[in-house]
This record gives sequence, structure tokens and C-alpha cells, in this order.
Amino acid sequence: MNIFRISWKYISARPLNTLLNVFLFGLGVSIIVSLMLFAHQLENKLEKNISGIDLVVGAKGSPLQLILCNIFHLDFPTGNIPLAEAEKLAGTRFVKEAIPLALGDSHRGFRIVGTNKKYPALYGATLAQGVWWTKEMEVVVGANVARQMGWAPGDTFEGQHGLDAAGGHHEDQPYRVVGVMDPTGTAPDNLILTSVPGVWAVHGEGERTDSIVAEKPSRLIPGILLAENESREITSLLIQYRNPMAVIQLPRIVNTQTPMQAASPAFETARLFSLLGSGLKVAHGLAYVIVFVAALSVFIALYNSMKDRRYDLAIMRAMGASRIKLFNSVVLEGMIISILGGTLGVLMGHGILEVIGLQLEEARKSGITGLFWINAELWIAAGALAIGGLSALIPALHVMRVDISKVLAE
Amino acid sequence: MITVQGLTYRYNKHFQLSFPALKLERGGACLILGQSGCGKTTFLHLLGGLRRIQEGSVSIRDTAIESLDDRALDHFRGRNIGFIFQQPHLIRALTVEENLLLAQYLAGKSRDGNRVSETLHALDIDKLRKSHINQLSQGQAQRVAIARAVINHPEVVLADEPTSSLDDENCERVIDLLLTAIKINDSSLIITTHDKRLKDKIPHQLTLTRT
Repeated sequence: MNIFRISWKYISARPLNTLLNVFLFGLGVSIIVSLMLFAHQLENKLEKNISGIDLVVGAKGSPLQLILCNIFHLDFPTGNIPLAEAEKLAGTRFVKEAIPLALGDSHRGFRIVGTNKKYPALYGATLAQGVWWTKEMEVVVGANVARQMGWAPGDTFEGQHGLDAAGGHHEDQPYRVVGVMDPTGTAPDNLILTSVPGVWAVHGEGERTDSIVAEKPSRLIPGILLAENESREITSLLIQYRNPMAVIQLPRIVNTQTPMQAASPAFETARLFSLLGSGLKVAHGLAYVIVFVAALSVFIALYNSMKDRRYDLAIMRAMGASRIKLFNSVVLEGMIISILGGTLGVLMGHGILEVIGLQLEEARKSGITGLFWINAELWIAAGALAIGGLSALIPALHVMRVDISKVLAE
Repeated sequence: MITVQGLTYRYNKHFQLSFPALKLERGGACLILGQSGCGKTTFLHLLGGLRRIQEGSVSIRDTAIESLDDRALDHFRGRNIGFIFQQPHLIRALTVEENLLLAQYLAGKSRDGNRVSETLHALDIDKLRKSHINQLSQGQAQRVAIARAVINHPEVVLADEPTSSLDDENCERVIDLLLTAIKINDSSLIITTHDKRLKDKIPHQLTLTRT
């Protein structure tokens, strides 16, 4: 018999009430934990995806859409841009690196992206199997794509027109998988990469109808020649600045002197997060309200049980218990409930996120998982403990002040 | 041994009670009689350190309890004084055994299963060891309360109206158990009561009157 066992016995003597309080605590904590984990992982993913890309240039439209489409591969393209304009921009002194993207087709929701090999290199993607593409219609697939489709080098598939799963098939032109990338935790995990001319070929744009001379080699797309009156198009250009001057100059040049628009990934994701942030704040607020209600419930439960236990407490004093010992035992009761609730909440929080990560297509693609721990959870644990102790404080002080002689004489 | 001298308790400006002197050797028993309102319970609580002494002296085993500070008094009470009340007032969240272990723990003694067995055996309630308090009859609960009062070999056992709610048969049984228990444990026994049935059992008597 010790002080911990006494507290525990009193807690287990009212199981339903304890269950309710533990559950309330757990509910509040689980919402806080899952939101924290979600925001943390989302921020990580966003940051990883935009690192190395200073500017995205594409057709005019919503800048946020441009970023969502061309960096995160979530939204639809704003339109196409002329290859000739893109080439001209890539040649300016502000640009260190420019990577073309040609979107349009997909397979079972996985986008087929025409690009060059600098794109996987941007994310440090390496090959797990096979080789990089060299010819039209050869593709290298991301780790998630390979896993979910069960593909290995040598497999073939048909592209579907459009970026959702409903598009018609390009039946006569199958793609062939030649390589599979290692997981990177970024966008290429869910992409099917191929050459830009491959994407053109599927859409019948590969054929050169003009035959003007004065051709010159493309900067962006290895192996092709640009015509004088070039008419081919791509979706966007990912740009890395060469110097600080570019930060100011390049977006202005693009937005004012060309039919294209430029959007900064850092700026747009910050904007996205501030939009998302207000939603997260509301959910957070709700969680804190629940935790507060839980604390209140623990307080009321203890306060009421102290009334029923006046005699018990007086008898314990008569048996030699000091005031401080009884005080501690009541505070301990509050803390035990909050520890149980906090533990339940942390487990539930991770569970919720893991279930979301497994069940929701988009969450699965972005690699959201519940099996991920962050240091802030320690603060939550400490906070829960403190709240449990605080909610027991008033009942415990009450117990300390009980006049035992009066109670026992009743 | 317990010695009481010059004990006066002032409830408020207009009302105070003075209590007679008392000296009781170890192993002895004494009855405190008197009508309700003459301060029997107050007297007992003063002896047991449940109420602070304002004037006079109570010394138990050569310790003047009025000289102890709060914490020391709590400790002293746990080790040297056993209480029995009109109702058993056992801790309902615990079993019989746990109630006795709690008494050992709160008195600052190490838990001693043998001592628990011995005490339960002496009161013929071995079988109730693992029982919950809710399962006990009134008589059984009273025995457990006695066991709890004597488990730490107290110098003195203080009983406040232990028989007033019992019928004749149970009254007789409880007082016999109490007397046996203090004999075994070599404790003194002080009982406050207005129950006339006890007068024949304990010859040493002290009557309180309102002054």
C-alpha cells in the first residue's frame, strides 16, 4: 500500500466516470497531436518539393494553380506556353537552370510528365532498377507508381488522355517502363517521367510541318532542333535563378513582356499555408476547448468524490496521514487520469493520421503517415500532466483544510 | 500509559469545558460517561490529537502531545493511537486486507502480511481478508474496524460510542472483542459512551458533567 495505490484504488472504484474523463482528455489530445503531425509533415513535404525551384513560368491564370500543378502535380495546368518563348527565357542571363514540363496524359491518376533528366536530378532521384529513358515512349516511373501498379522495367501501358482517370486511352501508342526511381519523399514518387518529344508524339505534335532552314538545337529538350517559326508548346518551365538580380527582374520581365506568367513557389506556398492556417487554427481551438472541458470534468469528478470521501479522508488523517500526503494523493488522482488520457490521445492521434494516410488517395500519395514522432509531443505530454494536476488542485486544497475533529464528530 | 492533567477546552468566548484528570496504565480500560453535549467526543479528540490542546496536558508514553507540531502529531497519532468510531468507516474503495495495510502505511510502518494475518485471526475474520467492504455485514465491518485500530500495536485505543447503535447481543460481543484485542496487543482502552450496558464490563469509570 502506498500513495499511488491509494489514488489508483479510488480511480478504479469509479470506472465509468474515469473512463469518461480519460476519453475526453484523449479526444482533445488526439486532435492536437494529429493536427500537429499533419501540419508538420505537410510543411516538410511542401518545403522539400519547392527546394531548388525559384520560379515557375507557365500560361497566364492563377499563380497558385500554376504552382499546385507544376510542382505538386495536384491541380490542372493553366494552359500551354510556346516553346520558342520558353527557349528565349531560358537563354537570358538571369537563368541558371531551366527545366521544361509537358503535361497532358496520365495513367490511373499518375501523371505522365515530359521533361529532361534535370528534373529527377533536382530532387536527387536515383534509379532503383533499370536505366533512364533515351527514346520516345520510354518512361521511368516513381517509387509509388511502381509499387501500386506493380511495374518493373519491361512492362508496357497505355496513357490516358487528360490528368484524371476518366480520359480515353491512347491505344496505339503504348509506353514502355525502362526504369524505376528510388523513393524521394517528393513529387517524382508519383510521376511517370518521359521525354518531351514522347508526349508530343502521343498527341500528334511531334511531326514537323514546317521545313524552314536556320534550325538551331534546343537548350531545354536534348536532341531536337528548333525551327525558325517554332510552333510547338510545353506546359511550364521550372527556373533556378543565376543571381540575386533575377529575383526582382525575371518575374517582371515574364509578366510584362511575354504572354506567360511567373509565380514564386515560396510565396505561393506561404499564401496557401496562411489560407490553410485559419482552418487549422479553428480545429486547434476546438481541441483546446475539449481539453478544457476534460479538465473541468476531472475537477468536478474529484470535487464530488471529495464530498463523498470526507470521512475516508478524516479517518486517514486519524490513522496518521499528514495533510500534505492527502493533498498529494488527490493531485495524483488528477494526474493519473491525465496521463492515461494523454497517452490514449497521443496513440489515437497517430492512429487517426495513419488511417488517413492509408485510406485517402491524396494523403497516401503525399506520404502522410502516423508512424512519425515529433518532439512537440513531449510538450503535449507535459501539458496534459500539468492540466491534470491543476484540475485536482482545488479539491486537494479543500482536502488539506478539512477539520478532522468536526467531520469525525458528525 | 496515558496521563491527562488540567485539560480545558474553550469553544468560544462564552463556552468552555474543563475535563477531569485521568491516569491509565498500559493494559487498563476506562469508561468516559456523561450525557450528550458534555464534551465526551471533544475529550476523546483532545486525547487523540485530532483537536489541538489549548490548555492542560495529555501525555502518552511519556510524550506530551501538546508539544508536538502538526506533522509530528500526525505521525505520533498513526503510531500510538488506534481509533474506533460509532460507524466502522472503513475505506470502501479497498478490501479488508488493503484497509489494514493502509493503516500500516499511514503510520509509517512497513507492510507486514504476517501481522495482518495475526490480527485478522485474533478477531476470527481470517476468511474476510480479500473481501470488499460492501460485502461485509455490520458486525463483520465492526470487527475489521477493531482490527484496523489495533494493527500497529497502539499505546492506547480510543473508542467513541462503539456500541450505541448495536443490539444487546452485538454490544456484548463487541465489548468483549475490544477487551480481548487490547489485552493481546497490550494497549490501553478508553471508551466514551452513554450506553449503560457497558458499566458492568469496565469498572474504571469517569463521568463528565457540564460546568
